[in-house]
Amino acid sequence: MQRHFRPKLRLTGIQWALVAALLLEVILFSIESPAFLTWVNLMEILRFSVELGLLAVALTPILITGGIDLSVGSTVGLVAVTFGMAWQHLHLPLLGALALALLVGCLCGAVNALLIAYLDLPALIITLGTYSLYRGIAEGITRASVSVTGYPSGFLLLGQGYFWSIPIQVFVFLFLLVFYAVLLHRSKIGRALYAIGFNAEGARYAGLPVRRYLALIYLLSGAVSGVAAIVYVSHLGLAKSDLGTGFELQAITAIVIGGTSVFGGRGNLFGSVLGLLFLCVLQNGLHLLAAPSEATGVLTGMLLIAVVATDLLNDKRPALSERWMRWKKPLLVAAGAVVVVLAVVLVGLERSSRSEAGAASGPRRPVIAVMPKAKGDPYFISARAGAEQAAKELGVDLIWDGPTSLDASMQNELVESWITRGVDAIVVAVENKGSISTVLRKARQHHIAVLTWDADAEPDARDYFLNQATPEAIANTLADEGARLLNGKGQFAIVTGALSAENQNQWIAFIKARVAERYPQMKLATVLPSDDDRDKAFSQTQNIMKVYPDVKLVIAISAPAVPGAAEAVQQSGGRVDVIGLSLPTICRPYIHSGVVQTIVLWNTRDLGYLTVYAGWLTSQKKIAPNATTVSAGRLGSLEIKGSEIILGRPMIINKGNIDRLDF
Amino acid sequence: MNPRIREAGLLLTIVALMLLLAWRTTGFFSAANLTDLFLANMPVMMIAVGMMMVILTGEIDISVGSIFAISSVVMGKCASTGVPIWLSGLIACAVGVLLGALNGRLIAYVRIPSIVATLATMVALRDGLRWYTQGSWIQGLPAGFQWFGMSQSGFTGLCVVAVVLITGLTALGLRNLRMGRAIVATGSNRMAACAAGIDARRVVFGVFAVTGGLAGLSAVLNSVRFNQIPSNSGLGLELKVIAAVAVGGAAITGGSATMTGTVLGVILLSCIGSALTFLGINAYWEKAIQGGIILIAVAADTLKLQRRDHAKTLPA
Amino acid sequence: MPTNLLLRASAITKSFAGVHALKGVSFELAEGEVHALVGENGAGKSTFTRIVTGALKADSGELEICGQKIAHHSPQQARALGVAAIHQQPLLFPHLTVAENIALSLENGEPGWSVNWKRRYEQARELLHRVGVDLDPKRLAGSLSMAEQQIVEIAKAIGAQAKILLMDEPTALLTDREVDQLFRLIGQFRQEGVGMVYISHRLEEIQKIADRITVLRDGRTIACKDAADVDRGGLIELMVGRSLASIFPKRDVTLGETALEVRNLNNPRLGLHDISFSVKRGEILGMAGLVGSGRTELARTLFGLSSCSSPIYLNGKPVRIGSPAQAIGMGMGYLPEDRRQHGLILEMQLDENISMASLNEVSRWGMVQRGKEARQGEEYVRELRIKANTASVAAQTLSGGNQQKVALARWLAIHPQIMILDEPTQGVDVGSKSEIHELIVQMAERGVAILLISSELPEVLGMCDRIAVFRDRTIAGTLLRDEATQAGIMALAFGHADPLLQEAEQA
Ligand SMILES: Nc1ncnc2c1ncn2[C@@H]1O[C@H](COP(=O)(O)OP(=O)(O)OP(=O)(O)O)[C@@H](O)[C@H]1O
Ligand SMILES: [Mg+2]
Repeated sequence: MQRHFRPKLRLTGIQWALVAALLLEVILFSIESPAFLTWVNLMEILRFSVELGLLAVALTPILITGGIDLSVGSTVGLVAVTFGMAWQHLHLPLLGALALALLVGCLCGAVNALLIAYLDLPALIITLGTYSLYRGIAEGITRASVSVTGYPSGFLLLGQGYFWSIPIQVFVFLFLLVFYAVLLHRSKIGRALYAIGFNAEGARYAGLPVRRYLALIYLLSGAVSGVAAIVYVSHLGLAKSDLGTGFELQAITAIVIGGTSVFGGRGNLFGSVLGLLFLCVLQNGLHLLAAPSEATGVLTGMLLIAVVATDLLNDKRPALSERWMRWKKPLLVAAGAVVVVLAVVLVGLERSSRSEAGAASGPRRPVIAVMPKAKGDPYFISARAGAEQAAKELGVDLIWDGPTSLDASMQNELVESWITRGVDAIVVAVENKGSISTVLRKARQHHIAVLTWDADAEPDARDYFLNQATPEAIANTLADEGARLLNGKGQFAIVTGALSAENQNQWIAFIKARVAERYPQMKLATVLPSDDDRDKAFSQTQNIMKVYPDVKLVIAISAPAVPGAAEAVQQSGGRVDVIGLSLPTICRPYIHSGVVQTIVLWNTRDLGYLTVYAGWLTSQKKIAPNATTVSAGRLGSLEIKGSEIILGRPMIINKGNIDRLDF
Repeated sequence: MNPRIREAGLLLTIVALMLLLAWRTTGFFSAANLTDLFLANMPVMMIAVGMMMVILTGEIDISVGSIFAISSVVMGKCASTGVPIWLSGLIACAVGVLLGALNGRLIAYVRIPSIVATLATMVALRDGLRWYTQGSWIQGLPAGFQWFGMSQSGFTGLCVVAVVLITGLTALGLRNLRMGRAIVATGSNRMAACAAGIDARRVVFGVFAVTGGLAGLSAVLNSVRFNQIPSNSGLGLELKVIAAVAVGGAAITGGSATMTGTVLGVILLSCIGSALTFLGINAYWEKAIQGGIILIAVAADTLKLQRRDHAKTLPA
Repeated sequence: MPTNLLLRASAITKSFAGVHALKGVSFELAEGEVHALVGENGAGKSTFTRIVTGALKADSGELEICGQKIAHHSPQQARALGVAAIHQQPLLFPHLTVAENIALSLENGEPGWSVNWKRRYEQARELLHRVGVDLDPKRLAGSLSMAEQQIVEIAKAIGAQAKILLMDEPTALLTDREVDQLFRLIGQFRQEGVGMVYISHRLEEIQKIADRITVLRDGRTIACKDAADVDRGGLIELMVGRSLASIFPKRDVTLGETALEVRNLNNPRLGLHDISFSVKRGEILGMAGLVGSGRTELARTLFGLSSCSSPIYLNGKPVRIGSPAQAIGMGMGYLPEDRRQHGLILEMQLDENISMASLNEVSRWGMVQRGKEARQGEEYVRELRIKANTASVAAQTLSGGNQQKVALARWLAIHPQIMILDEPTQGVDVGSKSEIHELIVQMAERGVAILLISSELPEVLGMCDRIAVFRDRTIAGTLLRDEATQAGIMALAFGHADPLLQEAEQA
């Protein structure tokens, strides 16, 4: 009976495929990038996988019972803001806030547990409901805009410190991983969970306490999400209502790719961990190779299918099965290899096409890495054109990469990988100053020139801030324009981007202040979010016109929102003016038709140009310590104020000048 | 087991919401607002029809948002390069069908679990599109592009007809066509379906292709409401659609879903957002209230618990 | 010798991942013949039928249907050739109505796009009528009891107008009335020249209707005889390879205290009303009645699967049982009727299934001790002669009768005080059946109070001290062992003397 004492960890086909793919990822990335296979980088990968890993670990048993919990990402958000608010606004001691926050996490889990396990409601819908509910409460209590920063360094250690040069949160993760592994794979409860996943009714007939166990894992999932939230807050150094957005889907991806079935009964924790590592290593490697972040998505998708399909070959050829059994592992490895080679060739192509221009021209060209807030945003797209122009003029390599949508932690991750890669200058459009400053300071310690643009980090975390136009200046310009159109009195409404977008919230605050100060007869009727979606801005504006008939002006402060709002006004034929902050190209038709009076913008082209130019100047130490001006290529001489390089006032774009602008 | 209870609960929630709106607001039930509401949620409704069939077969499709975006861009690209608008529309629909068929192929024939396959295509297609367009919008659409060159009300009429036809015919087809019954049977018991001579793989392939097609069609109808096309439309659409279908009472394990439930689910979820604006509730609380209402709408299900024992053993 | 061969199979072999289920089966079926296929659990009977219906592909051997050599077989092709089957495990669509379940398997291949609902309902009603059961065709199949599902399967097969009809334990859960009706139908088909393969572990049935009998043992054809040439004992010897001493090993046990008592139990949710009875330690109380008369419902109520306000007296103390876990805690065990849905977790291993209700005994500090568990599993596999290589195979790979034994083993492992057995020997071969009966008697001797629900009257008559007969979800009467007869039970079950049965007994 020897064999029963062997641990029961049998890798399934898909897990072999994952192991193979993971190994190949490691091998190929370390060939391609010397920075990859270093202790520091590997630890960085671990650090960034912890929050997601915690959720994946908590979700695995739930998927094994055939359930699902979509609310974990939202729970992270809610717990994070509870923690932040309790500490800063209720002035609770840190430990008290921590306890309260974890309690809230448990409560979130308990609500799910009650509804799903004891009232027998379907998990998918319930957690879809609480997904919305928890995030909504987080946004509600913070008005979506509070972001709590400034934690004591002792607390930040949890997310940023090291112990034996291993990130501290990795120990938290390991602890919970072991806990869950025992729970799921060794204990009575785990056995029951598998039985429930295969056949809940059958488990009940066998006298297993089905409800109690289901309740337990949903409750635990809330609690673990709470822990993940605390770790995340400490990691980023900030608490905000949109933390953890989309985590649920990423965690589920890691789990299902690890071989756990969403229909229950099949899968194990090891698979989830493998899946998680596979995804995180892929992401990290591609960042190091400076592949564009879209490539990560495309590759992840293709690899997902390839890995799963490799596993399925297994039972597709029963005739070959004998031979297949013998050759299974090598074949899987080979299949994995093909896939990864494909990936690397793709990336290689991309890289070579990029660096072809100057590959031969001398020893080593400086590398300037520029990060927009969100790659898909039209502002940043037009800024990129300017940046490329500057790179060409200067003969430097440009890495232009950023999150595909607003995502503070992704920004951190990218900066980390740039540090590891060893670029010459990092120029970041900061999404959240509290969270990124730590890693920017680290970049400076590595003698990398650090600049910020669009929005600033902590002053000591960067060399220069490229100040295109302060939020205040923009808000004032908008408010003044609005007042001009309304003759200083009447109602107006604001259509913003996402409710929790920091930039927009600053602008709104300054607009309110300006109006209160200068135009007391103007009244802000409402602020509605458009989630940076043209169609949603369209609907919101339609609603504004119906609900607030007195509103005569809509200020849309997100690039896609202006055409959305304008189209709504145009289609209704109403007499509402639209102004806002957007790009000339997408607003041109509406400016011509007179629906949009004015858009306010800094010159994004010039700004993009300046990012690279200033980055290059700083990295070459060409700016004297106390210079008051700097000459920036085609932009001529620019003023330096303290550590800010001033680009100029915001542009006011209207019928008169729009046809001269091409961005 | 009984979907009627969920439908009753949904209907009750909707009626309560409507009464509240009638009492506290003016203008919500104006023709203009209802038209706007309808047009804004037309894509969700159309795709929900396909999603309901997918869920009926026991699968799920989370790539519809990406297919929607790609079809929109294809539509715009074609139209802006001088292809006649009706033809661009057809091409965009065809692209939708094709991408749906790709999903179907991977799921039915390669036998990748649908959540993995469509997750993969969702990410890959969305990022592929981003890569291709680099985020730029499609502009310079021909003059007759907006509303297919029709009047605004004519176009709205067309959309109403399309939605009614699609939901109505699908409901009828699911009930009265062999094909429709095959879909339900496949979701109810895949093995029994094979034993009864139903080609379950073709059924699954078919529903994914149809869902892709509906995503394409709704993208076409949605993009002609404007005169330029953003390249990132349909973000999060899949979640809205799945939420609507699930709230409408579909069981994700397959075999049980009704068109009435789905339509009610879409109505409820699409009204909430705008209703809150009409009620003057601060946008910060919107998500919380939306989540709360979803929970309330399914609470009627607890009644089911009382009856289940009964239905299992008592002859009707 | 039959003239016109419908089905001829020779040297069929089939193995599943190392298990040789069939090692050379030869079989013939002639027009108008009822050919019984018998053998122990796991002998390969179901596997053989599944090969004929095209659900499985044979590894080697020849199959000829209606004179046509079959190379690549599919279910559709089999159907086109006129093969229909009643499967041992009902395969229904839980979300569809009875009528549609029947129609989907019959209408396949017919031209046309649309569904004729009226015709479907009429067809279903007619077929169910022919089976002799009054089942609403508009009910969802998911709400049917096991016996009712079996009946739908029969209706499906009858409607197929097949030339070859394979019946794999069609009567395992049916009571005499339905069985008689089925036999009448079989007689009718025989007249029409349909060839029928009949598989059953109820040997009386076989002797009643079979023309020829083929015996399978360990995947081989052992013998093929005319039914007239073998008697019951000879058949058993052929199947098992040894003779069995007694069929029902019931021994008298001195009864102890009252272990379980209910007084006027009502459970409106399940339609139960005014049920009163008691069982003593060591007593076996039989529960007879027609399909749907409330026996399973009572068992579910007692076991805490359906909450009920009436108290239950355990050892004289009133208790309320809210969940199976509680019931088990009080020493009660329940072997459910539906082993696939309730009795087992099919995807899990035998040892895991066996320890499932008594996890505490194989675990320490909440951790399952795999070694101990596996040893326990192996022990039961040996003891109950479950046909499986090891205890670490999935339950779904076992044959029906062996699955039943695993399901029983789970409850033996909890060492219950009170045991409710719902059709404990369904689908179990004669040899194992008497072993299970022996186990039941041994339990009784240890002082366990036993409720035995069975549709097989001889079993109830042979095993029980008293027999409670159910009608319309209450107990119509209780008979003592000595006074009980088949006719007496049936009279109580029907509420009047059953004309059919009287007819049968007179004949
Ligand atoms: N899918 C499968 N995988 C592995 N083994 C199987 C599978 N199906 C059947 N077997 C094995 O094949 C053998 C024959 O099974 P079969 O179901 O034909 O028996 P049977 O004669 O019908 O028994 P019973 O009277 O219990 O129904 C059994 O030993 C069983 O364990
Ligand atoms: Mg069998």
